Parts: sequence; C-alpha cells; structure tokens
Amino acid sequence: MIVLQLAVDTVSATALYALVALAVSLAYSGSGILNLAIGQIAIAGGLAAAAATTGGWPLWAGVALGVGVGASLGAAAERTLVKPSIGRPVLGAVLLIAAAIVLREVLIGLFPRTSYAFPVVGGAVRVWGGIVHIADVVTIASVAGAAAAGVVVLRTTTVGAALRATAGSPGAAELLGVDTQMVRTASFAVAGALATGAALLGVSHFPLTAEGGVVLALRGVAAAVAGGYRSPARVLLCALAIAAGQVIGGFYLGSGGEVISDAVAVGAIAIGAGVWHR
Amino acid sequence: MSLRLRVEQLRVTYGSRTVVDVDELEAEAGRLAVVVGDAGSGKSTLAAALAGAVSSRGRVAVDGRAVWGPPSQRRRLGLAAALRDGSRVSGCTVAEALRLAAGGTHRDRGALERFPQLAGRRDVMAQLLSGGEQQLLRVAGAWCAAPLVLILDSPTVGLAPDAADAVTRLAREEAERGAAVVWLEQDRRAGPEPPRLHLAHGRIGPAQGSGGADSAGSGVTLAPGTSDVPRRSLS
Amino acid sequence: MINRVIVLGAVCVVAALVYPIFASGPQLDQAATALALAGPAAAAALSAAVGRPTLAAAALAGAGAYTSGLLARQGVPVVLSVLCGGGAGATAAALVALVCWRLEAPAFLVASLLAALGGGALVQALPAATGAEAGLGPIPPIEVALGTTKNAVATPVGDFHVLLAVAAVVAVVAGLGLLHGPGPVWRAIGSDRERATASGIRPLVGEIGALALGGLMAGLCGALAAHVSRVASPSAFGIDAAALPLLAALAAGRQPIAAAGIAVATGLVGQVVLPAAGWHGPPDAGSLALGLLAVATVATLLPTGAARDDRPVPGGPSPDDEWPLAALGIRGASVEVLPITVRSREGALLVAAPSFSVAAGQVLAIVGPNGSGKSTLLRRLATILGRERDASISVDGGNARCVLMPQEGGGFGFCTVRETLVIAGSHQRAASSSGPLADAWIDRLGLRDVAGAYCAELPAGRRRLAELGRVLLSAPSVLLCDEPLAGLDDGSRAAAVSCLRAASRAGLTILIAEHDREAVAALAGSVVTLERADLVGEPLTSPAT
Repeated sequence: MIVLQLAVDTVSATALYALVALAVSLAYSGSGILNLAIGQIAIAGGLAAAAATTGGWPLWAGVALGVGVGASLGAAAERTLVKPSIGRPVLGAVLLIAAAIVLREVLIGLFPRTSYAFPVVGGAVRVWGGIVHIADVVTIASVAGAAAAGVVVLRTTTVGAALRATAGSPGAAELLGVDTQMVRTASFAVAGALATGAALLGVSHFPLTAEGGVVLALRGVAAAVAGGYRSPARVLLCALAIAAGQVIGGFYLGSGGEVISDAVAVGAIAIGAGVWHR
Repeated sequence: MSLRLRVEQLRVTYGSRTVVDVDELEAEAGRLAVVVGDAGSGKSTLAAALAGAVSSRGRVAVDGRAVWGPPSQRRRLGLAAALRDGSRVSGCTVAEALRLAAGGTHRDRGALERFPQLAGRRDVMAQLLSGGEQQLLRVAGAWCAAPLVLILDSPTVGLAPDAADAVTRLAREEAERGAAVVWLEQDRRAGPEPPRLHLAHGRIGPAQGSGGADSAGSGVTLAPGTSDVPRRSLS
Repeated sequence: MINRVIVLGAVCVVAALVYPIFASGPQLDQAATALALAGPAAAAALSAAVGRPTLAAAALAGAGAYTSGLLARQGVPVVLSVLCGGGAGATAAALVALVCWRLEAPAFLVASLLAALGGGALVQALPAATGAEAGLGPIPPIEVALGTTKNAVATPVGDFHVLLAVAAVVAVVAGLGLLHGPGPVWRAIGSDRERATASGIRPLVGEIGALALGGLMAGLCGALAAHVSRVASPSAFGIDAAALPLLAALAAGRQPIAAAGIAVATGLVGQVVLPAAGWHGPPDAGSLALGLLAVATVATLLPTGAARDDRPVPGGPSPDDEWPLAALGIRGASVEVLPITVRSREGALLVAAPSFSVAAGQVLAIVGPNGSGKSTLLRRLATILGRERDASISVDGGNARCVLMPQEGGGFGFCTVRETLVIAGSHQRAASSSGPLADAWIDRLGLRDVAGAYCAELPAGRRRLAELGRVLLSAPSVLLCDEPLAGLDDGSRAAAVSCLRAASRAGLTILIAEHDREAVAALAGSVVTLERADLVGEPLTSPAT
C-alpha cells in the first residue's frame, strides 16, 4: 500500500521542518527576534560540508566543518545584527533578510554549480507495496535523537536552566548572574548548527545549491511561528500539517503539492495567531 | 578601613527628568550602611543603577577597579544587588536559579540552608513563587555571588518575621566577612541598624542620631519628588 | 534640500525621456523591466507605513501580469486587461491583509512570503494555462483603439515612455496619499495599532485600504511590464523579487517616491549598468545589485546608538492659563468596580485590586510601588470598560467612552504632532472643526514650534504632553492615565497637573496610576493603594482625606 510510503515521507519531511523550527524557536527564545537568515546559514554550512567531503575529508569531519560554519555564522549574525535590534522585532527580521541575501551572493560566488553532492545513505526497501528510503528513516531517527537530547539538556543541565531563565525574564536572569548576551549568542550558534544538520539530512529532497535552502527554512520558520515558539507539541503539529500538505498533495496533484503546503502554512500561521497567541 | 565602593557623578535620567544625581558616594569594607529615603526619592533607581539594570552615566568602582556593563558582568567584578522592583525570576526552579547564581561554587547549598523557606520550595518554578519568596530568592541570589559590595533595596518589606530576621542576619554576617553592605530602606525602623544617611528631596545628610559624619557617603543628591523609575528591561 | 530633490528628479526625467534614443532594443526591454519596479516598491512602502511590511509586493505585480496576459490573449482590449491586472493585485493584497490581520509584523512577513511563493507554485502547477517555467506568452503589445479600423500599437520606445509615465504617476500618487488624505491615519495605524484603535480608528480598514492601493499599483506596473516585454514571467514570485521592493522601501524610510527611485535604480544597475560594464560572472548582475541594496539597507537601518536629546525644553506651557476644554464637550461618567484579580498565563497573581467607585468628575489615584500591578489594572479596566459588559464593572450613561493614556511613548510615532491631534479630534466631531481644535491645543500645550515634527523625534517630555492632548481630544468620559507625569520636567509637570485638574472640573472622570504621591495628592479626591499583589494577604484601601 502506498500509505506506508506516504506516511514515512510525511514523517521524514516533518522531521526536517521540525528541526528547523526547533532552531528558530531556540534563537527566538533568547532574543525575541525571528532568524529569517537561518536558511542561508544552513546552506552555507551544508555547502562547506559538501566541499569538504568531495575534497576527500572523512564524512564525520565534513559534517563537523559544516556544522561549525553554521554555528559561526549564527553567532556572527547575532553579534552584528540581532544585538542592536533587541526590542524591535521587525528591524531584526529585516536586517536578517538583508544579511541572508548578501550571504547568498557570496555563496553563489564561491559555489557556482547548480548542485553539490553530499553522501546520502542509499538504498530503499519495498514495504507493503510502497518504497521506503533508508535516508528518510535515518532522518527521522536523527531528528528524534536530537530532539530527545535537546529536551534532556534543557530540563536537566545548568545551561538549559540559564536558557530558560533568560527566555522567562532576561532582566531577572542578569541579576542572577546569567550572562544573557552569551546565552543569546550561543542560542543563535546552536540554531545555525541545527539548521545545517537539517540541510544535510534533507539533501535528497532539497538539493544543496547556493540558491536553495529558502524553502526548507521557510517551512520550518512557518511551523515555529504558527506553533508559537514555546510549545514543542504545537510546533510539531504545525510542521506535520505543512509536511502532510506537501507530501500528500504532491503525490496526488504533482507540483500542486507545493501550493498546498504553502497554503497550509499560511493558514496555520493565521489560525495559530488567532487561537494560541493571546 | 578600606573603601570598597566609590561612586562618582552618577546620573540617571528618565525622559526629561533627572531621577538620580549623585556626586559622590562611598562605602567602606566591613560596614553595614543603611540609607533611608522616602517613597519616590529615587533609592530604587539608585540601586538599579549601581547594579547595572538601568543605563546611567558616571563612574562606579569596587576596590578601585571600575565596574560597568550589565548586571552579570558587575557581579563578576564584585558588585551584586538584590533589587526590589522589576521582573520576577521566571522559567526555572528555585534550586536552578540558585545554582545559576552560585555559578559553580557550592554557595547555593548554603543559601538553601540559610533560607529554609526557599528550601521548602526548591523544585517549584520561580514564577509561581509568592512575592515574598521571590524577594528571598533575589537576596539569596545576590549572596551566592560572594560579592565585595552587596546592595540591598528594601529587602525585608513584606517578609514574614523569620524571613526578615534571616535576611538581616545575612547582611550583618556579610559585613563582618569584609564586604561593604549598602541597605536602602524606606522605613527607618526596619533597617538592621540606625540609618547613616537620609535621602529626601535632594537633601542628603547624616540621619538623626547616627553619631556625626561617617565616611559612608556624602553629597548624595536625589532630585525632589522623584518617582521610582519604571523598570526597563535590559536585555 | 527640496530644491536638490527637484533638480535631481528633473534630471532623471530628462534622462529617461532621452535614453531610448541611445539604447538598443534589449537594453530598452531591461530598462523597462527595471522601471516597472516602481509599482511594487511604492506598494511595499505603503505596506510598511501602515505597519504591515510585506514581501509579497513583487508577487502582486506578477499576479497583475498574469491576469492581464491571460485576458489579453483571450482578446480583451489591452487597456482593460491592464486595469484588470491592477484589480487582481488589489484583490490579492486585500485578501492577504484580511487573512493575516491578527499577526504581528514579523509573522506577517513570513506569511506574505509564503503567499508569494504559493502564487509561484500555483503558476507552476497549471502549466497548460500559464506556460510554467517559460512564462506566459506571447502577450499582445500595448494597443489603443483609435477608431473602428485603426489601432495604435506602441513601439518599444513608446512602451518605455508609457511605462515611465505610469511608474512616475504611481509613485507620486502613493507619496501624496501617504502625506495627505488617508495617509496620516495609515501612518497612525503603523505607529501603534492599539493607540489607533483607542483613538477610534479601525486598523483593519486602514490596513486593507493601504495594502489594496499598493496592490493596485503593483498590479498595474506588473501588467504593463508584461505587455512591454511580451511575457509574464514566474520569477516575479521568487525570493529575489520578493526582497527588493521591501528593502528599497525601508532604505527609503517608508517614503514611496524615494522607495520607487531606489528600486528602479537597483533594477537599472542590475539589468543594464552591470551587464554593460561587462559583469557576467556568478552571482549574476541582478543578484549582485540586490546584494548591494541589502548592504545599503543594513547600513541605513542599523541603529547607531546615538542618544536622543531628552533635556527639558525651556519655556513649557503655562499652568495658569485657561485650558480649551469647552469645545471638547466632556461628559463624565461614574464608575463602580468590584474587586478585580488578574492572573498571568502561568497562574501567578499579577493584580489583586479591591473594589472602588468614582463619581463623575472625580479623580481617583491608584498608588503603589513598581510591580504592584497598576499598569495591568488600568489596561484591564480599559479593556472591560471599552468593550464588553462585565459584571464587575458598571459605568452609568451606557455609552461611556473610556480612553487609556499608556505609560510608554506618546502620540503616533510616524505622524506629526498636528496630525496626531487632528486624528484624535476627528473621531467624535466633524473634520472641519477638529483642525482648529487641534491648533488651539497645540498652542496651549506649548507645542507650536514642534507642531510639524514627527512624534517619534520629540524629546520625551514633549511627547508626553502631545499624548495628553491626544487623549483629551478623544473626548473621553473616563480617562485612565498610566503615570502621566513620569519623565516630565517640573514646568511641564505643573502644566499637566493643572490641565488634569481643569478637565476634572469640566466633568471628566479620571483614574491616575502614579508613583509620585505629592503631585497626585494635589489632584486626587480619593486614593486606592495597591500593594504588591502577592506580597500582602489583603490589599489595603485607604481613602485619602
């Protein structure tokens, strides 16, 4: 039956969008600013990893490089653009859009080819009449693992407590001795790293090209915005709705799937704003 | 006795109004200095400016070294404050908040021993604490920094007697340990000691009955009729 | 300054008129495409001014292009098709504004970008109708029927001039519309939606209006561009195209004429100048121009950290003269409030207020330290008194008008002082009388020399005075003031106290939340003290003698 194939595809797409949404929510919780450059940062990291592995580096080293690039760009964006925009979310969002454009131009100059290869776990399995790609299963497992690790860090470690205190009340956290500037920069850096992970995991669906990255990131951002940044369950639900629209719509309607997922995303944001953000 | 805290030309403005206008303020090591000011005299703003929670102009020095930047940086430089107004600690439990304040030392355990009221609520999320418990949490958090200069803004107002006693004992012990403790208070009877300085309508002077001039401050002027500055979050 | 702008504009117009003589065919096409960016840029400027910055401006132009192209290929006269293209843009914009009206600005940006990309996906999904990647074409050129048998077909040069004229008209109309007419109201909505609502404006109406006008402009320009270049391209729905109008609008400070100029200049640099200079390599010239615009925008917008001069201005308003209150027609109302409890989302207690009542024309002071919940209480009262019937509040006189003077800011940041007061005044009375009333209050509040300055640029004290004028001109029955005297220097403070006292004598019911007990004591007939809600078991009520 096709159902299992569609289900796995949907869950795998959900995992990708949810990972980006998690990254965006993390950056938002430390600063109140929506990181609209996250897609370009992720692609920058992905291209760095692709260049490294193509150049002969072992896989783990390439991934480490890519994640490092993503983290550094995230931190740099926070220091230069987010810090002066605290309290002015529109200004921050627009500055990050502009930075994303500049970054894209730089990347096009450095990586002019239309797509870059990154090793993907190959193979597919026939299950119940449909085709399930191993890469998708790896994606789901990786994101689930990352989410679980994230929950553990957030709930039990001091670093997690520092982040929660900063998100709850930056002024009070400062007086307790939490360096909120460091927390903000770190949250943007981790967000960049997570998004790079999503770009690398999603290579089979979203090719690594200097001009890409926007659609994956935009859907993740939409899931974060619709879900309200604070409740992982709601964010996950919105990511699921967007992914389902894209996969199922794409299966039955061809490229109509993109339209449906965009429509679902807009609808989710509009509804989420009305219902959940009081 | 050495000077722990020295403040020069500290000015805080809100809008078109100068709320704090301090030419000179000094505090000695090992002394607990009580400063009394009426409601609206700007004492909370003064405390916030010293802590770094509101932007100000002027120079603050601890042990001769300039202290500046956001509150977390000032804590590292030796100045910790328990402010009265402003945002409540939120997002973490009491135990976690104290662990953050202790920053790797084990003083958070000591804080929980000193304040059994907090120990009893150690796993409660901080935003659900009552106002008195939040106050205790802030005082304990400032103490966990083992500061050279400790600023307390009306720390016992609204506390039950046993909690107020614990805070007073903490202030005295810190002074004995060699820190400079500045206790700002509205009610002259509530402080642990008779007040040395009196702030009111721009006039500063030794408070009645404090026994003559002491080096704990001179020339502190606060503008007349000033209101407490609405807290702006520094983030 | 103005003279320099006029000269620059004249030079540009002459250059544009003369350019076709020297340009080759393809260059003319590219230049025309760049000219068409004026429409989306003006639309983006309007949307940013009204507080709904959008990334969908170029997509609206694309919608206009496709609509006009489809209609023209079916035989509809070109002029009509272009107008329908404009209408399509307007409709799409209004739709987006309506669906997303509850969103905060950053979320609106994301939603509008998704809508733009969705439009592009829709085009790709109907390849039979829209030609998919290659674009919709060929689209008939611009033709005007001159008689029963003759048609005038525009030459490439004629195309260019038609587009130039339309682009110029669009930009000027948008610019004028933002300065006069509906402009001040739109800018008020963009400054502060809540204050605008409190002044009687319906933000949704203004937002839809502004966005629809912008959509019309973008659609017209896009449709014309399609007829000039004979093809409607799906790249209008892409990311590049989305960002350019908004960046131009913000770099121009939300002024449509300057935004159009910047957008056209960027387009020209990307389409004509760079290729002519020999730039071929990656990134392509258009992207490079966009990148340069992005850098320029960051440089313009990044706050420099220069502190605003907030020193008190000498010579504030005199406290002793008469206040022009008679023309306001104030009718006070009495208020009865039962005990109110406000809790935060997590359940923490924010405010625990006792019951109190205020007779018409009386002043009640709510005092208490920071954190006792004064602001929260006032906001809750404003919400309840302004809208629903709530069992815990009763205001006699039925239609009591309750206005809140918030603690932060003052006036409408993007409007001038005079515009703010006129808007406030025109809610309850005819437009013709609100002008003189606003002028009377400007003079009385000592703001004559800054009447034409934007509220966001005023020193804080004068801004608070403008705010006081704004709330009074809204003709309230109950006035809730959240720290009206905070940040005022002594002169302005005395004037504000005298004004409030005079208003109270004229019959206005006033509730004031203040720290400053002295100023309040001079004013208030009774006092409610709020302790920190969760600090003391029972909040105290102490009527002052």
